[in-house]
Amino acid sequence: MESFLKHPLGPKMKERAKLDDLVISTRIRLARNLKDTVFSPVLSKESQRQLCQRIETSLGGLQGFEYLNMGGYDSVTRQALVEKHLISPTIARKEESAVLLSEDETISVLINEEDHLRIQTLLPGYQVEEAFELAKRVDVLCGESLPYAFDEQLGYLTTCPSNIGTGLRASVMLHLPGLTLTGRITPILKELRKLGYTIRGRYGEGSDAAGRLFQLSNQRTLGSHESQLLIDFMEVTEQVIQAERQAREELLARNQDELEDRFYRSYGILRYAKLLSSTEAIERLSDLHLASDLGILSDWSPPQFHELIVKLQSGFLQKHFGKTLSTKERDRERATLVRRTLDHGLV
Amino acid sequence: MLCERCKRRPAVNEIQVVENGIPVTRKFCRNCTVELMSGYVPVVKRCPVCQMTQNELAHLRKAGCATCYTVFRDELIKITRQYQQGHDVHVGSIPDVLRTPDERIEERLHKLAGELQRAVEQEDYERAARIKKEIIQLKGQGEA
Repeated sequence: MESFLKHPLGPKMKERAKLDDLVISTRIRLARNLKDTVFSPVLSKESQRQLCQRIETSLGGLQGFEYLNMGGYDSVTRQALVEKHLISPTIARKEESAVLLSEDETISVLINEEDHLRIQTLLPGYQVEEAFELAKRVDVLCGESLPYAFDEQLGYLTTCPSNIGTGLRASVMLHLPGLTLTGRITPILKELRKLGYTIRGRYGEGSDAAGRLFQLSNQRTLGSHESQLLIDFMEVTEQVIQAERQAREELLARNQDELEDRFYRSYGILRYAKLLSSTEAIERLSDLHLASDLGILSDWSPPQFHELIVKLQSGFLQKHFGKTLSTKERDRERATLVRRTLDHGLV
Repeated sequence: MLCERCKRRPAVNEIQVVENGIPVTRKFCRNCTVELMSGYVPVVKRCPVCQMTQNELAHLRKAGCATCYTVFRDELIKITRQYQQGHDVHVGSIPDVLRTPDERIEERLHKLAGELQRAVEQEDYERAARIKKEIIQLKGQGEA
């Protein structure tokens, strides 16, 4: 476990990837259940424990994976894994749950989520097809030793019919400061929802999402082949990316002075503040990240931004300092961490 | 549709009855419904595997096990359509173990064709040759 908490980003997430200035990460999730075991709403604690053991026996021998029983870790440790997106908040709340985590932190097989298995892959930047290929390989491997619940008409059976069929959920985390600052995000959010996509703030709901970070994902999982669902998803994602690029160009053309003023103010606060809440830190870092994308700021890379936003979350922060911290202590340590990072000089 | 009992009046209610020990859904008119229901104690529809009742399922909007999808099929398909923009048929991949060897070869060939194209585009002829060799081998297996 300790190796997964040493760094805010796994080895793979630190690499540069396609469109990573705008797309922080890509995630694929496949929901699977076993036909011979009752589903999570009626599964007793004892059966949940047995399911973990059974899956550990079936898959525990996988090369390059570590089996982590969630019951054995405190809430701060679990929270830090959620902040890294390696496990889901649902798993973090359950005692009788476990995760099989690949050493490079790209694959998590969550056991006892809402479904018996949630196969999840996480890659940096925009890598929808690559993340799906990886998830599919793990899916085939799991399917060799575990009897999947599958229905000829409805496909892979899930606890909630909102995931039925392919069980496939693709999502990308997008940094959309251009659309947010121009106010164009609101109609776009509305349009995306109408098209059947979910878009929500990474930190907070709606158009006032902190750090202008948004998670876009497909809602429908049934009625199209996996490849078609992914093509549709990518088409929508690329339209949002294009709209963001356009908004940034216009911002720069029309309000360069205001933009620069904004970046330097944020830089000043990050550089000298003594107390920083996680929301303010993410907001200000988002400004810095945009400044770097627009060429105003040098020596700043997308993985650096990503690393900091994970590092500054309360669970990870407490793990970093190795103790429980009050809100005020967290704000102080957060500010210290940011100051130290910026000490190396960016502007 | 006419009542399945009197075969005269229009059917207005759907009721599950047990015939020869097997539960079946029948459509009855109002009169026959009243006659059938007099002194009737409603039987709760329950999944024999996970014991979830119809009411619990309607409230949760979730299944308790794979068998629920057979026992409460109509209800779950209705909920599925609501979540899935009207869709109720899976057209995606199926578990590997349910596929015939031919289907597996077919899919692998499809994937290799894509990989071959990419290898040629990238001018990686060594890889292209390896992929081509595998394609020929697989085609041989398919015909055998």
